[in-house]
Amino acid sequence: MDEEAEFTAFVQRQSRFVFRVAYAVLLNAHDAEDVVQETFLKLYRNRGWHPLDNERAFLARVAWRIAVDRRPRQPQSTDLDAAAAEDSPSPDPSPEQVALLSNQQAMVHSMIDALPEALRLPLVLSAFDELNSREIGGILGIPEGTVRTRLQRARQMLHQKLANIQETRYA
Amino acid sequence: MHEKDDLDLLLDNVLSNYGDPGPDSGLERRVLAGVRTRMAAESAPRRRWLPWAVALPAAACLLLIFLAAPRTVHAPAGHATSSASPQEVPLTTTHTGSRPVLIPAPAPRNRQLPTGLQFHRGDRASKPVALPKLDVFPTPQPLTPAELALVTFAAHASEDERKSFIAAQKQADAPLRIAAIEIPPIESPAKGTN
Repeated sequence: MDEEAEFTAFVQRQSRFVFRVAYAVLLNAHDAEDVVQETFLKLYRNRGWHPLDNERAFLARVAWRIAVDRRPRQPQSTDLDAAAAEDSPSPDPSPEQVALLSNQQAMVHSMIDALPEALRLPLVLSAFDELNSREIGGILGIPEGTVRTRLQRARQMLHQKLANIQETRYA
Repeated sequence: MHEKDDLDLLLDNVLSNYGDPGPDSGLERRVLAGVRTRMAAESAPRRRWLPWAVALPAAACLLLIFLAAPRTVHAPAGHATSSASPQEVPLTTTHTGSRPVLIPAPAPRNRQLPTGLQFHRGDRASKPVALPKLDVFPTPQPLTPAELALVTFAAHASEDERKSFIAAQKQADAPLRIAAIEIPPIESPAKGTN
């Protein structure tokens, strides 16, 4: 298989994964697609896609850095600990919005979007089976224990919100 | 607990598809096309030297034109002759002996810059242009045929011949004495001869 065919197969295999990582940072499909293109272009230029031990961990790290660079300047929420992140504003969907979101999955999706970035990124990355807490910590530049703490906090927050919504519905 | 399990399942289900564009989104095709387009653009020969190749000769031409352009003092028309620099003394022709010589004309006593004509520092056009200094002044000129003949004569003639030549020259230069013309009155014809 020649190099072009290998690269094509590589893009077809991993572009959706890279898109999801970029989307978790940027929350915008158009910007996320730009990040995907930038990521693969960078790898193609440097021939950095040939032998990869952990392909997805490597790709997630590259894509995350490019996405963070493209993101509008804002306080570095990824460096916050989970407690500080919990205090940061996390707009809950209003009852009117909840009523509009008839689809439960879309509602949960919007709740994940509304999570602070420090909690959202570990949560989204944990959804990929190939990435464990140590690798997620390596991508985000935080200790493995912090990743676990943030994952727990993120799940607790989502549980709490979903429980509140269900109570409101059945009340 | 049953409710918690349901929420966990729902959360995991949403997370497994979070941000996924889907298999039919055409993302792979667009990404591949974009990467190839940009790589092709980057590998194309860059002609960054082209603007310089045009700009540098043009700048050189402009510089040459600027340097070669005649510099003039912009002065009012009425004072044009008065603005000559001291070095630019007009020359007049005079005759010393048999040879014309150029000597500087006497400078006017009250030589002042005319009103309205000012020399600005840094204005190269207003600076007086110094004439080149001559090693020998006046500039040697080749001898005329008459002078050559005189030199040859002086070199070969004897002392007597030279003295007689000088005497003849002095005689030639001496003022001429012209005797007064005396015209005798015309006698009237005798009476009765008619």
